Order: sequence, then C-alpha cells, then structure tokens
Amino acid sequence: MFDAEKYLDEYADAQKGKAALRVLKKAIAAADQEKEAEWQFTFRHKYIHESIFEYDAVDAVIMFPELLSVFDSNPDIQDENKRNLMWDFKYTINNAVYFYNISYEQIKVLSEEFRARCLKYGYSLRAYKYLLEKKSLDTGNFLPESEYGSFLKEPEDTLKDCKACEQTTQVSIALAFGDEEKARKLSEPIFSGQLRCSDVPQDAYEEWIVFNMEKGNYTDAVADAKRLYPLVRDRVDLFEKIGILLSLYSVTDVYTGLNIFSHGLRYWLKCHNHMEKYYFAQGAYRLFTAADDDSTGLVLPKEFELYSESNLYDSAQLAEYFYKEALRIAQAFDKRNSNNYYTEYLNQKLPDNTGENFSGIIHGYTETNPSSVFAYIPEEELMDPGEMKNAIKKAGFRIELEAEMEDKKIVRFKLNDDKEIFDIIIAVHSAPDPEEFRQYHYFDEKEKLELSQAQGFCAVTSLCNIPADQLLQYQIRIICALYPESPAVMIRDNLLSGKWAEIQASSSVTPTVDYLYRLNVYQQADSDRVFIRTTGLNCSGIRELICFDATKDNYTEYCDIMCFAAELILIRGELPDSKKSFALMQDEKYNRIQFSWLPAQEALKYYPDEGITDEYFDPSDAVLFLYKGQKTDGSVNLCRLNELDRDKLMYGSLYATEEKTAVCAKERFDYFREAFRQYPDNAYVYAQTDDESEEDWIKVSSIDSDTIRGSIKISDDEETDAEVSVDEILDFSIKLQELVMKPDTVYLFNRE
Amino acid sequence: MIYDIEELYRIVNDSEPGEPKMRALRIACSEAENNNDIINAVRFHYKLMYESVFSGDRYQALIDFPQYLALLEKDEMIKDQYFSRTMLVFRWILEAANEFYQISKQQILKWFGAYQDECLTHGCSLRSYWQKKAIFDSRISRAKLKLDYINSLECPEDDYTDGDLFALDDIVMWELEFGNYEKAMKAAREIFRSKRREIEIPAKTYMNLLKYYMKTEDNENADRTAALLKPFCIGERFQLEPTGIMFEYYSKRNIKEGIEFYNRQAVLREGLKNPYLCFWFDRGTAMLFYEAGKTENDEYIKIADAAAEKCMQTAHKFDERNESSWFMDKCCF
Repeated sequence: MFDAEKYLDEYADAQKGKAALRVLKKAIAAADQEKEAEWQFTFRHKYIHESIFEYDAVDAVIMFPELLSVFDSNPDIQDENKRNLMWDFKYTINNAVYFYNISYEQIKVLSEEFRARCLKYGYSLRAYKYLLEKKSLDTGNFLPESEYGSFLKEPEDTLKDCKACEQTTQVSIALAFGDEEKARKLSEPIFSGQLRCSDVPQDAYEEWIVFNMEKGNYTDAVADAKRLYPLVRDRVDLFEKIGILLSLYSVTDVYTGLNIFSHGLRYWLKCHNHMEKYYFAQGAYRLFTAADDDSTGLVLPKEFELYSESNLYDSAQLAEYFYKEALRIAQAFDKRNSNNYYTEYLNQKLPDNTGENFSGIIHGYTETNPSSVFAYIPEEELMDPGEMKNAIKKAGFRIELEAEMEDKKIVRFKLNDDKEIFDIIIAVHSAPDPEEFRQYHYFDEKEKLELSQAQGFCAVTSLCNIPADQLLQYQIRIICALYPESPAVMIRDNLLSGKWAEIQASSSVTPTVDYLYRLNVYQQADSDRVFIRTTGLNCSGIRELICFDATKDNYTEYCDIMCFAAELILIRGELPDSKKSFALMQDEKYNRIQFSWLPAQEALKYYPDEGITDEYFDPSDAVLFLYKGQKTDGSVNLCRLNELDRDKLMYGSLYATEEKTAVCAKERFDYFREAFRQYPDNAYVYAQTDDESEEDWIKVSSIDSDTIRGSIKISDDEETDAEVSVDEILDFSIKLQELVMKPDTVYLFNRE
Repeated sequence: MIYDIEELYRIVNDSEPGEPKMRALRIACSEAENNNDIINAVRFHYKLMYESVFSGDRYQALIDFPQYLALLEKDEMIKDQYFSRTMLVFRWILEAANEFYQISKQQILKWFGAYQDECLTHGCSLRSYWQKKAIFDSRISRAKLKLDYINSLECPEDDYTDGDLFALDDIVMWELEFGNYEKAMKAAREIFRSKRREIEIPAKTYMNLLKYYMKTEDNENADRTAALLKPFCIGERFQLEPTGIMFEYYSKRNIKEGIEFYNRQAVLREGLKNPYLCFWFDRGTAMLFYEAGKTENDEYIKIADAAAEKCMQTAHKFDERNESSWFMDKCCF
C-alpha cells in the first residue's frame, strides 16, 4: 500500500525549494508506480506550489502538463480536484511568460485550453481575460487602451484573482498609460491596508517605484523601496522586485544597492527563471555603472563566474558582465515576443536625481546616519593592526576586507558573521569630557577615576542596511573585543558602563530599543517652555521626533509619551508618511489613540504664540500630533498633544522588550544567584506558572540548583507557595543596598 | 403586530445564555425576516449561531447557516460589510459539521470547497482552511491529516485565521498525534506563558496533553494536567469532550473521584444533541464505570453497558459517514 505519510514526513523536514522538490519528485514516482491517482495528483499539485512559491517556477511549468494528464485520466478524482487544477492552470500561464523558451504560440495554446476549460467547468471568462491583460504587460505587446479592464465586465466567480491582486493590476495598467491620478485613487485601499494578500502591497510598491523612477521622482520611490525591501528580501517568489530595487539604488544610494546585490546574488546564480534573472542583471548593470570605485569591496559566492579571492571587484567589469547577461535574456524575450521591449528597457537611461519631490508627500524616513559606539581608552592611539584583527576574529567575525586610511589613524573592515556582511570603521580620537554625555548607568569610584584619566576615545562606526539593534550588537561585540577593560562606552550620547557592554557583548539577544536613541530635554530661555527631542532615530533612517507642548510642570509626562512613541516607531522600523494616522497607545477604555506628524517647519503654525526658535530643532524633525480624522474639505484634522488626557493613557508593554528581558533573565541568572546570597531579603523573580495565580512575581526564599522557591502574594493577607525552574523565569529584580539589579543591569553587582 | 426592533433587542439581551437566548433569537430572526429588515436579520442570525456554538451544542448553528448565507445574497453591501464575520462563522460551521454525523460527507466537502473559494477570491490565507480540514481528515486518513497540517503551517496568519493562540494549540494537538512531544511542549509553553485565554484554550491544550500522558503512561504529568483541566470542565456543556477524557483518566487513576465528577457532570449530558460530544462523554463514562464495576457492582456495570452501547452506536454512524473506522477504534472497552 502506498505510504504517503512517509513522503510527507520527509517533505516536512526538507529545506524549502530545491530539496523539497526532490522529495516531492520521489513521492510522485512512488504514487505513479502504485497508480494511486489521488496522490499522483496531490503530490504534483504540491510540487507546482513548491516550485512557484518557494523556488523559481520552472519546474511548475514543466510539471503542469503531467498534472493535467493525471486529472483527465482519472474521472474519480476530478470533482474534488477541479478547483486545484484550474488555479494551478492560472499559476502556470502566469509563469510561462517568464520563460523565453516557451514560445508565444505555446502560451497562446495554454491560454486557449484554459479558456475552454473555464467554459466547460462553468466558470466565467474573467480569469481568462485578466490573464490576457497581465500577459500583455509582461510581454510588452500592449492591447489597445480601451481593451484593458474588460475582465471587470465578466462575472465574478471563484476562479478570479482576489480583489487586492485585481486592483493592483488596474494600478499597473493606469500607470502604464500615464494616468497617475487614477492609479493613486486605486492605490488608496491598497496602501491603507484595506486590500492585501500575500503579494499585495508588494506588487503595488513595485509598480509605483518603477513609475516614479522613470519620472525622476526618487524621493517617493525610495520611500516605497524602504517599505518593499523587508517584505521581499527573503521571498524567492518575489525576486524580480530585487532587480527593480537595484535599478533605483543605482541612482539614489549605491552603497545600499551593493548590499542588496550581495544578498541577492546567491539566489540569482541558482535561479532558472528568465524574467527574474533579467531584472536582477539589468539592475546590477546599472548599479555597477554608477559605482565609481575602480575596486569595490564585496563578499560574493565562490560560484560566481567573476569571483575574486581578494573580495575586490572592478565595477566596470561587473557592469559589463551583467549588461551582457541582461542583453542576452532581453534579446531572447524580444525574439519570443516579436518586439524590442526588454532590450529598450535595458538601454533606457534613468533620469538624474535632482532631489525634487513631485508628489508632495512627506515621508517619515530620512537619510540614515552612521551608528557609532565609542569606548574610553587609556591612550589616544589605535592598537596594533595585527592585535586588532585577532581581537575581531575572537569576537566571532571573519575579516573579508581591510584597509588603513588617513595615515593609519583609521582602519576599515568588511566583516562577516555568517548572517550579515557589513562595513565598520575603527578610529581613535582624543577623549572628550565624560560630563558632555548623559550618565545612563552607575559608575563606581574606580571607574570614574579611569574615565578621568582616559586619553583616547575609540569609535567603531558603521552605516549598514541591517536592523539598528543588530548593528549595535555587532559594534558592542567589536569594541569589547578590542578594549575589554574600558570603563565606559558611549552610545547615542549616553554614557554606559563598560561592564554592561562586556555582558551585553556575550548576550544572545540584541540591546533593547531604549539603547537606540536618547531623549533630550531643553528649556527655552526666559520661558516655561520645554522642548523634548530624540537623537538616534536617524541611525535607523527615521526622522527625529520633537515635542513642543511640554512645560516645566508637565514635561515628565511628555517624556513618557515621547519615549514610548520613539520606541514603538523604532521597533516597527517606520514612521508613516506625514498626515497619515497611526496608533501608538490606548486610553483607559482600550480605544486606540491615533497620531500623526508634521515636519517641524510646517508644525510651527500650530504654535503661533510660543516663540519657538529654530535653535531647538531641525526643520525636518517630526512633530507629533493627535489625528482627528479628515475635514469635509478632505484635509487632515490635527490637534496638538496638549489635548491628550495624559492621566488616562495606557502605554501597554513592548513585546519585543519583554522577550529580550526573558532571555537575559535566564542568561544572567548566575548574577542573581550570587547577589541573592548577599541580599536575600528583597529578591524577586517573575515567572510563568501553569496555575491560575494572578500575581507572578515570586519573592524568593531559596535557590537550590536550578529550582527557585518562594511565595506569591495573592492579597494583603494571603500568600501561596511557588516553585519554578530557572528555565521558566522571565525577569528578576533584587535590591542591592541602594540599587536595584535587573537582567539589564547585572553589571551593578559587586560594585557598591 | 407592530415590528419593534428595539423590543426584540431588549428581549434578546435580557435572555439567559443558552437555550433561552437561542429561543429569543429565533423569534427575532423570524420577525426581522418577515419585515424584510435584512441588516437586523443578519445580525440576529449571527448572534444565534454564536450562541449555539458557544453556549449550546452547535446544532442550531448548522441549521441556521444556510439561511444566514441566503440572507447575505440579498444585499451586496451587507454581504461585504459582514465578510469577516461570515468567514468566522464559516470556520465555526466547518468545525461543527464534523460533530454531527447527520451532515453528509459530501455536504461537508462542499462547505470546505466554498470556504476555500472565499479565501482564494478574497486573498485570505488558506491557513484556517487547512486547519479545519485537518480536523475533518484526522478521522479519515492519517496521511491526509499530515498533508493538511503541513499545508496549514506553510500558510501565513492573517485577519482571517483564528489567531496565534489557536495556531499554537493546533501545533500541540497534531505534534502530540505524531509523537513529537518536544515540539508540542514548545508550543504549549508559549500558550501557558502568554496567560491569554480563549473559550477552548487552554482547556483543549490540557486535554490533548492529558491524552498523550495517558497513552505514554506518564502518571505524574497526567495527574498534574488533569488537576489543571478539571476546573474548565465543571458545569460546561461546551467542554464535554475533555470531560469524557477526564473520565478516562479517572478510570485509570482515581475511580472514586471520577464517580464524584461524573455525578456532577451527568446533568450536562441530558438532552444533548451534539453526537460528537455525546460520543466522548459516553465513552469516558463506559471506561470509568467498567473499571468501577470490577468491584462487582452491578449498578456500575449497567451504567457502563448503557454508555458503551450509546457510544458504539454513535461511533458506527460517524464511521459510516466518514468511511473509516476511527471512532470504532476508540471504543476500547
């Protein structure tokens, strides 16, 4: 008897893509041998899905005729599998266009067969006409403008694409014919989140990026690119969009483009999908044409034809290589399609980047500032390069490239930790007065003395397209490897304990979000007015926030709002466009409070009497407002933050921070264990117990190996015993004489 | 009689949960339909199905569902407005349909097909489709169950899936089924850590763990889990499946407590129309009282015999509908 379960187990354990396809091929062969019609169909159907959504679709196009044959040969399985057959038919026709070796005639035959089956099985011709229109956009054989949208006239049925996809195709058509206004209107429900599916809004972002790029409206194109890339970075079925991003960044930000190229090349080398290969190659060609270095440092796979052991590449040579690749594919497509569409696209020159914003939308992103981590060191001198490299390797990084600059006072590396490849610059300056920074942590007398005696200030700087907390963790690891005895590090103008950095460097989680920024409070001269401004958000490519509403009496409340806002925006990784609403916190009835923002210069009109001068802010800073909906004239109704009932705000907890705290609590429990020996009276752990206790903080009475015993307070008079293991703790707190030690501040132990 | 919508809402809101509320809602549905008040008719039907699923035994929901769909077809705007609620109802129905052998396999597959169509044409994730299909197929073919489960894990969560807690609970259930205890516990710990509750969770999680511990004869964990599960079952008709599992547990570990628990819960079995819940309750009863009857207590044996007979009759009907032997295989008396 056919053992389908065996193949399913193997499939579940296989890596997605090629490996999974191999398993499914075996399953198909076995099902064929046993003549198990249902599994012959099911495994082929799964194979087609795996190929399309987890690989490059070529195997799906080859497999589909077999699927059709199994279906047609086995009437018993037809009722249950008709739907799957027709959807697979759609996916196949959609993807057939992406392979130049599938002739136009073959695609036509497939389409007509699809049409015939739609009629045979009682479907409308909506899906058929929709595919025809989409196919024309992909081949460059445009239909007369009047024929587009004809699919909308056909009845809706269960074979049509979802509304999000159909609407995005209409956006695509509108933009193809230059109807920007129509496209914008159609895009509203897509970008507001009302219409979405697994491919939308990604497809819509791509359409707008291409459109804006070709018009030279790079500000809007880059804003969309920043949203698009995280959504497509690891999705092989959307690889085509990487090529579009390369084209864009060839004009706006070659460095980011090179990072995206390096990440994507590995898949490009294995990819058999001609369309995906073309778009990546044409984007890479543009990128390397724009890269003006004679030798560009890149870490590329060994399988790459032009692989260089030195990791240095000639941009002109790469440009030529990718141009030839793109041209070869373009010409093959054009021959298949009987036009010059793809060759012309390849040779089309993009407009220069003049920095003008045509759409008028003000985005929340800003140019990313480099992130720096500093350490106070005894001497104002860079350590020996050999020692430096050893230290970096000990910290777990491979050195792919290195260069000394500026009379050996600056060293540059390209590092690889098998997850990310990134550049850092290490330099030494003279040590600034520690008083210039905010003392974020506690320093004992010994550390204060070392700080006062430090002559040098070592900076580890990086500008990299990876999440800011991940980058910070790398920088902390490096600086601690270089200078493990440093009394203090400085991050975002906060002075932090060197001991803290050392402990953080060995952590398996990145620093919590509060280390990514600093809140600055300024009092306006001769006034009660207090300004609260963030610094550090721009290291994440986000505008700094500023609050104009605070006064001497209430600024701490506004600080709470600003901290929470900054942290949530950093965790989300985005500040939405100006005048768009977004939720940050809730009121006491759990209603979400909607916020928005304006650039500082524009926001000033809401503060006519406050005498705010520009010494306290940058014109591009984002001023938070309450969002009150739209007015009847369509403009946005904004109110100042002082209309918030600050007493009734519910901030909620940041899940990302709780998760990190839970990991740190377990990692650093030995500190707690030691501290408990000395300070047993005020020691608590927060743990998840399986019973229904409301109070989860356990007052610890004993620790025996990995078992913690204590009591939970149920009410003023009632306690219940509790016992948890170290694996179950989520947080801890222990009072050490004057200071309280928590997972993030275990550096405090043994320093009072 | 004048159609007074406010009065209808007042009567519904003031009714006791369960059968009284369902009675009031049936009247309200009828009144609204007779007065061509589509929007309120749809609302009342939705409330009726909700009440049936979560306070009753789901039977009313299954009867009402086609009428609810027919009403939505009368008004496109209301149909659109109610889309996400309709999808939620659909998911209840797909689960509930499993529990009534009177619903033919063809009808169930038709509903599954219709739900899949709605997901595909509205761009919704197919995760919930595969999750519900897995439950249905688990009583028919282990290979199909496995395929459905794998498919569900490959689909993303979205606004039309039941939420992360249910997804975790599914992982617990199926990984235990496949013997992957560590994977199951990883998911279970996340449920317990979250301290969040749904109507079925964590009761269902505890139930599946208890089944596993009994199967692997891990008495210590079985005792601990049973103690956690019990409070969720007391007085809850909705929880008669875990109640039946508790009876099975008591038959192995503490007959005296089991009989006390049975005496407390027996009233919930009276008038129950849900054959699936009846099956589990009767099965557990038979196991408990057969074990209790080993003390040569004829009364207990009579109770056990009666329960076993009902259980096997129900099992046979389910197996006939499903074309498998899954239910009869569970009747190990």
